[in-house]
Amino acid sequence: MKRNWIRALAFLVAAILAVQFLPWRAASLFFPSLSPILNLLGAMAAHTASGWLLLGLPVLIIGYFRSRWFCRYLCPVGFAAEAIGKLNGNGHRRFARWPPIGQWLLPILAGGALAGYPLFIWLDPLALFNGFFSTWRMPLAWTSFALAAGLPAVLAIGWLAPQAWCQRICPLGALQDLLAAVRRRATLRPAPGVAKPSQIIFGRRAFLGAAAGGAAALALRRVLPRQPLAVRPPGAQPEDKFTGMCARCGACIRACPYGILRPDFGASGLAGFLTPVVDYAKAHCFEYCHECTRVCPTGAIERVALAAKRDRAMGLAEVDPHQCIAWRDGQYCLVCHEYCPYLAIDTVDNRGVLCPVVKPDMCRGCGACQVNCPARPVKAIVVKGTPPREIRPLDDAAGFG
Amino acid sequence: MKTSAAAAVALALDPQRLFAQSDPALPRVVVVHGTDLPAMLAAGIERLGGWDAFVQKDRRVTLKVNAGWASTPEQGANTHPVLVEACVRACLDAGAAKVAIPENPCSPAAKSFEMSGIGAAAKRAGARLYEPADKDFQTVEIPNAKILKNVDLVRDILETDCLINMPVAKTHRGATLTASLKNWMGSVRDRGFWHRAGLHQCIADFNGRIRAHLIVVDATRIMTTNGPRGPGKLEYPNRLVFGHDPVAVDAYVATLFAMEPFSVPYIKIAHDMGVGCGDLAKVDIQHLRI
Repeated sequence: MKRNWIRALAFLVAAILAVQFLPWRAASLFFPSLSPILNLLGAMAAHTASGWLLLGLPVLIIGYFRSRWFCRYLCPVGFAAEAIGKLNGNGHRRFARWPPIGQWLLPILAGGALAGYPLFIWLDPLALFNGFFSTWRMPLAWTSFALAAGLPAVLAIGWLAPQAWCQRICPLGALQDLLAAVRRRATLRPAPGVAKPSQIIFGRRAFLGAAAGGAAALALRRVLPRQPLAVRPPGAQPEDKFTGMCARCGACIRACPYGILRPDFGASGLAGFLTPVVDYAKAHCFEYCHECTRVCPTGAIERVALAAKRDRAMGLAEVDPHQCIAWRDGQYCLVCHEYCPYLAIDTVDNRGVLCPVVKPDMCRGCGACQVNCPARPVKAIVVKGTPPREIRPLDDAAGFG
Repeated sequence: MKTSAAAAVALALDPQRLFAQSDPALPRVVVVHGTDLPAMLAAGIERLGGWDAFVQKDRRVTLKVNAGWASTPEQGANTHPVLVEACVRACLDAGAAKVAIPENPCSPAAKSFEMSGIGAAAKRAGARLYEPADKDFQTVEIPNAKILKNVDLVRDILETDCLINMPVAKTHRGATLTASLKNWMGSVRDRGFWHRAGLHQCIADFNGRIRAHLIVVDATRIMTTNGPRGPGKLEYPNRLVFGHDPVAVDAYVATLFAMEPFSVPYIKIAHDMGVGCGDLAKVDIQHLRI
């Protein structure tokens, strides 16, 4: 009974953090960071490390000594799945016949992370849980419901076949099973020369799985950059890593105070399904904001400081002279120059009227020009995705002194 | 730029102009030199007849400042907050019932008001600074306009007893210069139309309909490159420019940038339409030092 109270409390805390009601936005990182899959594999794929990594260790360490401790006490998804399973008396109980999908996923995840593209990281239960709250504090669109579908899907499994999710599919559960098996192997000492069962399970199969996952990830990474490049949040990893590292938890989309992030539905290809893309319909990526970079549990969006964010390129603005009211109509405009926070619009004289030209070494792709461009019906300046590129710091180009 | 700016200073400080007798028939521009903004404001107003000439007891005052950018006072993109605070306090001391400061900024409002220092200044002095919502706009007909036949304008600009225009002087790549005539673009809903339809004509059209009772241009520091947003190079004329005629005031401000006033298209158009006098030879420019 006491255990259920703890679990309910953990569920409540995780939900409050996920919705990002609290003023400390980075607090929403706490729960997802407890998952070593999101936290440690993400860091492995990104080749970065920070203090948040420490939060991923307790589940590993405690999991080694106490089997599935996290599942039994803290996991909000497991709590919900079990609760709904209890409601259905006629549930399919023979989940044990299901294949151990979670065990197969683990080596694929690990191999993928080594290759910089952790396949299926979005199956982490805490990512699914986080994604469920995407319909709160987000510009509401039907795609935000798609992002929220993970937890209901787990609950549906929980209803039809109680415990099947936790015992057979969940990669975080499988990881803890693996740790328990490692401990058993370390404590049991069978006669020499006899193959130990766990060695077979976690030896050859794991190696093959990791190799397959790594190979698939490398192949995908080679193919993906050929997709049309989307405009990503500031601090996002290069596109060939980003779609793999993003857990589709929607935390960045909820964190954006200006509502410019959307779960993608096609613009960045199948690999980018439900990853965050920037939409400059109503607002631009404000130069004094880096909220989305503070909440990403996997590091798909790096935790860049505000000053560093201002010197990161998200994309590149392009002027269309056939739509521009200065170029086409000879009108005094230059609203793009006016709004550009980074001095990235140069002007050239065209028959007595100054017309805009983008300076690629200054443009961050923040979209201030695009949002405010008065050309109708089509904007004359639009930000496009680019591969990562070097840009000049603002102070360099301000032209003082 | 430096030598031409020096020439402009020499012109502005020409002793003959400095001690010229005031001609009541000419539009008057009062230029107060100094660095103590509240004292400069007080001196300029005194020369124009004191606050009683503008603010009646228990009446409304609307102040149109420039708080359009998430930018610090030192960068010169917004009106200086010390000036705004002094002006609000003076209006309330003169008996004004309330002072409204509507501003439709370019950067997100909260950060513009915070970084410009004008949010804190308005709060300290007791004015209501706000970003107008849809309900705060009212459509105004401009019968004499060439292009801007009607405009959605903040109601507090229309329905007030004393309208004060308090811009900052800056270069403007799109409009050449921005001071008092162009400052109203922060009071309308759809600026984009002005750009599409003809920016300079729209600015002149608007000023043919809306006229402030008092203009105070902040030219303490002027952004001479990369305007209107910057960061850009700054020069320090250390002046406030007072007047009633926005065309005359802006024509004088243009000289601070070493610009020929009629080279700014909207000054020429406004002059030709009779909005005011952009010919500085026919303007009574008076200088004061603090």
